Formats: sequence, structure tokens, C-alpha cells
Amino acid sequence: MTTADFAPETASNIALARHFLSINQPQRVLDILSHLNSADLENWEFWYIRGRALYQLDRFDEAFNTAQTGLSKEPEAGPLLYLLCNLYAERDNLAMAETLILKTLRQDPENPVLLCRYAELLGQDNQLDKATRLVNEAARLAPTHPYVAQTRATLAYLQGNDKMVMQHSRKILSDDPEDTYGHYMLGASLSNTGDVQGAEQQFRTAARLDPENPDVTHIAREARFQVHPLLWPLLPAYRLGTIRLWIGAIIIMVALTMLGYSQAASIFAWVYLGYCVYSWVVPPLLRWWLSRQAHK
Amino acid sequence: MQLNELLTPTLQNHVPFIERDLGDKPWGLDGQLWIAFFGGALPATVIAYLNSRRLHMPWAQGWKIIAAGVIGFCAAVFLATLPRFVVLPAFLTSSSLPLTAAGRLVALLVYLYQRRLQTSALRVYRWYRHSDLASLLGPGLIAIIFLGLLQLLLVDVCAWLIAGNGR
Repeated sequence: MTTADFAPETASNIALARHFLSINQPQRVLDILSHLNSADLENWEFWYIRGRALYQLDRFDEAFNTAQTGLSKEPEAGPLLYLLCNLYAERDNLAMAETLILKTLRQDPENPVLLCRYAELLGQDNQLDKATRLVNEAARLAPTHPYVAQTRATLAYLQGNDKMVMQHSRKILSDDPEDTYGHYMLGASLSNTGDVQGAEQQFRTAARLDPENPDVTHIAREARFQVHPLLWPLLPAYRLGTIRLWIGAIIIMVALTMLGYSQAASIFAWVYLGYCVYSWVVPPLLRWWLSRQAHK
Repeated sequence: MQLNELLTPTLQNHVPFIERDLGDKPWGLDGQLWIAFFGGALPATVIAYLNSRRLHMPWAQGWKIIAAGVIGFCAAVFLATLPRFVVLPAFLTSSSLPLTAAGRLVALLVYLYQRRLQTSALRVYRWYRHSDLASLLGPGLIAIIFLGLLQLLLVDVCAWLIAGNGR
């Protein structure tokens, strides 16, 4: 995309707006665009930048109207089609999102970003096999592209393969230690495998890197709750996993009974039951108490 | 597979969440463990199958959940009839605990398989919906009490029929 179609003064403003877009400062983008002339409104790039800024601000309805206005100026503008595709995906209208992404892919069939985005749309519909094949194709075209690793991590997460998520996230972080998504995904996979302390560290780093992202700050807060001292007795249970814990407890109880230690088996059963009750009762009570403290 | 084949539309029949019945939020997977443990394979399967519908999983996955439940139920019947056909070692028959524990382990294995089937669909739901899950407390208790009792009854009836034919 170029700024060649704008007057020189406007072109420098557009370049500045694009810079703020790239460093995630959408409100400043909107401020700059509000000073442009009415003649500039005929250029689709204006609408694209404005639509992207609104999209980043989660003002989806306005972004939607903006993208459609831009497309009325230039119906084949790839970036606008891509933006509109993302907006439809946000509304879970995957049929329209697919139509638009395929339209952009017809213009640029070997674009790894478009292939990865299509894979994500398929992931949204749980079509994970086809999504994986698309990402493999994107990886063949651009093996080191960061979006390829990100999409691989996302798909592995959706498939429930936390080891692969960790692998891809660590790859993302080895390329860029400040990548918020890498920390977020690594935190999510560590949390799923019971390493709540490791997850908390990753989420905290992600929140520090992207403090404006409500999803990241919310999950970082949630992770901080999980490592509260009152929940420390539950850390081994998180690490082991509920199912392993229960199977282990059953085996110990049966083994003690079969070996003739019935009394020890019943003591163990009561202790274990107490531990279970603690795990059921304390977390919600603590959450309630902490939220009360926060509101005071 | 060629790139052209991969670029063939496959999302055209997707129904947006907004057009689906929002009353049918799915249940979590951890809560299903208690249903399997306390109720057995039958209640666990009913809950897992209903959840597969709430998650809009393909029918084939739903059938796999049912098949696992049927196998789990048959295993429970097998364990119930075992002492009538086979002379078990004394340490297994001295109390009802070993066979009861084996029944629980079978139900947990069924749960593990059904959990694996639901994991991906549930993650997709949570990742894109950012929505809370439905509480399993009420349906879980109902399933444990009524379907758990039904399973006990059915296992006993099946075991009685099999043992009757075996004599």
C-alpha cells in the first residue's frame, strides 16, 4: 500500500497514522485522521486505516461501516477485504469471513498471513485438520514468519496439545522475548498442565508488555489468584491433575485394604476427603473474599 | 493436498453463535469426573453426549461417546458377574471394595476417553466465545442419583440374567 495518491501534507499524516497503528495507538490514529480534508475521504486507504484503528479499539460496528465505505470506493482493495473478513469473524459469521479471505487469497495465493488467517477461521469452526494443512503450507512458503508460529500455537491449543503449544510458544519467545502472544500462550499451556506458578509468571509478563489488552490483564489477575498462599496446599493437586489424583487415591485405599490395613485405609480416605472438600470450598470462598476486599 | 483444494470453501454452513440457542451453554469437563466416579459409565455418557450436542460436535464424535459408554456399561456387567463364574483369589472377595474400585476405574477410563473427545470442541468454544460454562451441579446430581441408580439396577438385572443362563 502506498500514500502516493494523497497530497504531500496528507501523505505525511497518513504515514504518521500508519506508524501509530503499528505501535497499537489507535486513538492517536483517529485524532490524526480527523484533521484530514474531505477530498481525502475518496481514498480507500483513509478508510482502511480508520477501520483498523476502530477495530483495535474494539469499536466493531463503526469499523464495519468504515470498511464497507472504503470498499464502496475500491471494491477489490485487499487490506479492506481482510479487515472486513476479521470483522465478520468477530461476529462469528464465518461464511462471510471465508468468502472474503478467499477473495483476498485469489489476489495473493501464496501470502502466509492470509493462509494463517484462513487456518484460524477454520479453527474457529473446529476444522482443525484442514487448518493444520493450511498452516503447513504457510510454513513451507515462509518458515520463519512469526504469524506462522503464532497460528501453530493457537491450533495446537485448540487441539488440546499443550506440549506442542509450549514448543511453539518457546519458539516465538526465542525469536522475540517481548512477544505478548508467546507469553500468553505459554502461560495458557502451563496452566493447563498444572504449573500455575509458571503460568502466573508468563501472564504477568504478558500483562506488563500489553497493559491495554483486557483479556491479558484479566487472565493475569486470575492467575495471581491461583497462587494465593491459601491455595498453596492445592498446588500438588493442580500439578498432578484431578484424574491422576483420584486414581492414585483409589489405588492406595484398595492396596491398604487388601494388605489388611483397613484402619489406615479409612484414615487415608478421611484425610483425602478433607483435602477434596478444601479444594472445593476454599477457592470460591477466597474469590468471594478477595472481590469483597477489592470493592471496599 | 494441493493449495487449490485447501482453498475450497468449507465454512459456508457454519451457524454463527449469535443465531444458536444461547440457553445451551456447554458444561466443563472436570465436573464430569465426579459424575463418572459416583454414578458410573451411564450417567457420565448421558452428560458427555448432551454436552457434545451443546458443543455442536460432529455426530461421529457423539457416537464415539455413546460407544465408550456402552463398553463401560458392559465392563460393569462383566465385573458384577465375574464372581459367579470364576473363583477369585480370597483377597479380592474378602470385601466388596476391590470390585467396586475396579468398577470405578472402568467409569474413569470411560470418562477419560469421553473427555478427550470433548476437549478440542470445548477449547474452541472458550477461545472464541470468551463465555462462561453452564453449571453442572444440578444436572450432575440428577444424573448421579437417578441414572446412577438406574445403572446399578440394570447391571444387577443383566448380571442376574447372565448368571441365570450360565447355570
